[in-house]
Amino acid sequence: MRWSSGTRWLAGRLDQLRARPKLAEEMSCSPFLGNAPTRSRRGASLLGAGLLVLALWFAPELPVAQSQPEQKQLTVYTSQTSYSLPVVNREGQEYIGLLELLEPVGAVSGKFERNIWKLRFGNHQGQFTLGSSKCKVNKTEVDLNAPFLGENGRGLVPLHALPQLLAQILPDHPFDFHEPARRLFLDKVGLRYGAEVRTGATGQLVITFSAPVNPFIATEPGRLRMVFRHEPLLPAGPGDTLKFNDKLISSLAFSESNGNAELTVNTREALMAFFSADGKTITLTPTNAVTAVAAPTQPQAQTQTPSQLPSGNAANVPHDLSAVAKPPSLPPPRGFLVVVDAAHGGEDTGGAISDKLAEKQVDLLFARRLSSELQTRGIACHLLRDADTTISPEQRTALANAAVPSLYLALHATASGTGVHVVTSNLAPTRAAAAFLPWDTAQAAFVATSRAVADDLTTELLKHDIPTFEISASLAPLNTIAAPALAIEVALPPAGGVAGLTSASYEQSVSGAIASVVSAARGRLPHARAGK
Amino acid sequence: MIVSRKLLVAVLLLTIAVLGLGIYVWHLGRSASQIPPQAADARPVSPPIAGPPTSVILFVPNDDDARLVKEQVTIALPPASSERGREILKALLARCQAQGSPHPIDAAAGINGVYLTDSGLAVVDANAAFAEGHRSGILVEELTLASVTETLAANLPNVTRVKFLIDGKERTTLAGHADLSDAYELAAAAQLVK
Repeated sequence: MRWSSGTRWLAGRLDQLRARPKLAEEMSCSPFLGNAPTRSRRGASLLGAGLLVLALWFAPELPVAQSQPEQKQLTVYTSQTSYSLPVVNREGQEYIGLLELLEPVGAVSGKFERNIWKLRFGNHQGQFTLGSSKCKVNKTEVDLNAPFLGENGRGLVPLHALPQLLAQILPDHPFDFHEPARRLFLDKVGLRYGAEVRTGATGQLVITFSAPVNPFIATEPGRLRMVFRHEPLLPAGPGDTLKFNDKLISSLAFSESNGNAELTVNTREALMAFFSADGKTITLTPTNAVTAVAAPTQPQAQTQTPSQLPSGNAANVPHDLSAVAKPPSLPPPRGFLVVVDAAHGGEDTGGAISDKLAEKQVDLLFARRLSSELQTRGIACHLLRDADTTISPEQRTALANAAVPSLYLALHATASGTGVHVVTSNLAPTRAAAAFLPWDTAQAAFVATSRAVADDLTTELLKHDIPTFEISASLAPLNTIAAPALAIEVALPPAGGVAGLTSASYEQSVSGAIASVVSAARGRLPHARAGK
Repeated sequence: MIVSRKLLVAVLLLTIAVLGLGIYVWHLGRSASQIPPQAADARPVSPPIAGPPTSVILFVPNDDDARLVKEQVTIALPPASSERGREILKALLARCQAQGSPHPIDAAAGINGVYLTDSGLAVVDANAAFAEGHRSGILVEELTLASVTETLAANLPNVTRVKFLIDGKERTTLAGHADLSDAYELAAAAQLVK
């Protein structure tokens, strides 16, 4: 939930008032409250009235903040990766960018010639006429059921027509399209799960998956939700709900919507999730029994993985934002991929942003936000560190290089200085990348491209009135990355101090600018070939 | 016995002089007792710097615009190059440690020694506080390394790169970011000079 600034201010004032024990005592525990008006009672009354006025003043903002519509998206699952694309509404129809949809699958190009958009994907060619609901793919006429649109050089096709189009453009790729949930499964990918309740002294729900998973987990009264944003999760069986004959856990329900799959556990007690078997097993255990439960094979405590810090109050930040400690995994190399690396992590806390906030936490927040922004723009993205894990610079290099990224972005944060510091390697550029690159200076072949992207990013951030400095530095692991690579150090905003650094608006502003620049630079950055 | 008049006068004058000196000594003693005893100074006594006052160039880092600003100061410099290097860096640190510095550095940070080689490499051995007390961040750490390197190169012409040691030992990073495993190249510092 995003709070408006006014609401946050009110919440902050209430926190301050709670932190004043003397006043609180006067308000709630004074023995004189029941008697004739006293100074303390008058004070409490005045304060209460004041708070009521403030609450009424800011009340109109609450529904506005809470009712922000969720961005519609289509998630595509392939055997290599998964990615999300924004879905736009035009004249009552849902549309999707066809070029962006196909780009991660293989080499694709599209260009407008007057009012005709010509698409080429491998050996397949398509012709789309602006405003026409018919198009031709490989000389076969396809009915789109709604007009083809062109916006900013992008070709938009109705979401409803995707099955007909893909049958022509991707004849070798069997697909399954869950249109109401906006989920597209290519090449028969799918992730199955099974679940069983293990009754005993404590009672546990053990869910096993056919591949590692990393869901967003949230607990609510009476249920625990696991949202799978990147996994091609499918129902366990014909029905969407598994029911259990258990006092504590009654059912496990599958649902899918807006490009995500969700498993909801209905429970009478709060549950904690433990990951094991390299992320293929999630064990849900009542929180009050956690201390009594024997740890799973690889116990990795999981609470909630918030996507952002509570704004404006850095002191309330939990020490560990995400205790999910899964080993970093690799996506197979294919198409345009950005590797986002949240610096530090685990034992390496980085610098101290404040007394209670370590750099590693802010790095991860920005990395997650940037990853989301990139995926919103249809850019496949791999988060190198999505938990509080220790990864050495050498491991980061190995993981990043094995993914063959089009761009590597390391995210840092600091409480020193203001704005954003865009950093590239200080190696002298060399001309072309050879088949084998020296480990210590692998970046030299990509420095020129890295600096060009850094220039663009600096310009873009300055447009957003964010002070930005571009420097070259010797910073691990930049020099060993065999792809265009930048380190982005986010310092304090021009106003707002440390609290401003972790505010949603600043995160959004910086991440949005970075994602826009990456999106615009796609044409200049290398695309890994399938099977490379 | 007849005492000569001259002798009498001489004795009288000597008596007056003794009395006068006595009063003067008593006065000095009283004045000295009123001066408060000086606090014990536990600092190690550094060897005196013997050398003529010399004008040196400092490249002072500025966090606000991420640049090194050239400043000229006059300090006493010994003749030996290594000692000159140490005194120059001490002056640079003092500038950064002063109140209102554009690039604050921990007050306890210091330089143990500077060693020069014929290959253009200068080895700067800083104390633990130089690294432990340094602010963490890519830019602030880079500014410190660039500042030291540029300052040494500006005053000791043969220096082209600087290897940083902390209390005589190698260290991976300055404060979590700037890589100290290799020598810092003068060319890398040039980008930050205003």
